Amino acid sequence: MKKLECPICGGEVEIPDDALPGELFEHEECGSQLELEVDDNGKYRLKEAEEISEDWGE
Amino acid sequence: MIEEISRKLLLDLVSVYTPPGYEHRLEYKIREWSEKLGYDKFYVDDVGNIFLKRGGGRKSILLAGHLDTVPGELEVKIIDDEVYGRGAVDAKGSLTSFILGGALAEKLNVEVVVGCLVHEESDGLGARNLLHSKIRPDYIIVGEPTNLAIAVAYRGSIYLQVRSQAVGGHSSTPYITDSALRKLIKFIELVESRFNGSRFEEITAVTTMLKSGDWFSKIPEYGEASMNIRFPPNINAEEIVKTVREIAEHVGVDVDFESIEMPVQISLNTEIVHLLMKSLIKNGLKPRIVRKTGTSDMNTLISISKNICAFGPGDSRLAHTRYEKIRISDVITGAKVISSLIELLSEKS
Repeated sequence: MKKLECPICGGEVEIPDDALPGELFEHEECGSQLELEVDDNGKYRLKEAEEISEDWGE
Repeated sequence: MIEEISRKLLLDLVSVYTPPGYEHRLEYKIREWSEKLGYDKFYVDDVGNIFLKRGGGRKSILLAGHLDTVPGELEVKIIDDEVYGRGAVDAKGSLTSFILGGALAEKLNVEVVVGCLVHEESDGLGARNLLHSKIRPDYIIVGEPTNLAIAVAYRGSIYLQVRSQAVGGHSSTPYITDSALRKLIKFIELVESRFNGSRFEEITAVTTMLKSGDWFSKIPEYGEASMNIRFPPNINAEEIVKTVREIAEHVGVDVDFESIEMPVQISLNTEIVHLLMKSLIKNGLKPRIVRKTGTSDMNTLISISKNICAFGPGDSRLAHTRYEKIRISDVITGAKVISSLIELLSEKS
């Protein structure tokens, strides 16, 4: 597990080692939705994900 | 090759008109495809659900599509990359992706079951029958048009029937009597204004049928209406029922609650959601998450496995309309994503 900082609350978020950039996570402590990305130095970090959208249908 | 197979399979499914109750019309075709694509086993359960199986191992995944469509036959045609016809979007496109994706997967170390369920568009009989069966997959993906996004939530649904009775009378003197229609309209207005949400997180109510009156100069003695209330996760269905009963008592109409389906919501951190996200990324797509305002077999099948989500090609805005069409390229992408997911699962098992 990688331990990364939540950009919303500053808390710790555990990310599985096989996670890929673009995967989305929910920080259970603060409820925020986060996206895994790689910064310019090749290091993993989390950013706030786009809002979950609403879709019609059943 | 895959283009040709997916086009033929999708056309075979869409060409046969299968409203609820007529799903058996596709049994022969699906059996043929099951053999052609190399599935190990084909069988039909006691309510008409069709299953295709291949592989084996410690883990199992159910790809649960549905065979039925809403009523209303449409001309089936293919123009360029698009197939038109009833059910193209909801949800034979997803079912094609599932059947094809299940067959494409190599390095198979899990049991793959494609479920072609019945009555999804009516009473959910097919999915409910699974609750009493021996099928207990570790993972489930429900086939619905999400435009290749991952659906993690569906709202709950309450169907109710309202009946109104009154003395009625001559239309020249409405002020000396009461009207069943007037009471019905008052009830409808109160319920719709009480539950007047406009987004996923809110409760919505709508009237879908209204019948009253049998002569132009008679004040109606009887009336009935059908209503549908939708509600998000974290709302208590019993509270809604209580409110509706209070309004009915206040207005003086009778209410029957015909069905109550509970909402469903899973966490983004659910394992199947992450497997699907990885598969999308491996296929060059950015994972998108949606919550659906309607209901689906996911509301029922979560009782079998909490590792569940919905996924499939197709624009849900076209579902249930006479404009249903789907891009074959999207169906193929859906199949490739499903195939990658099965291979990921096989690596983990």
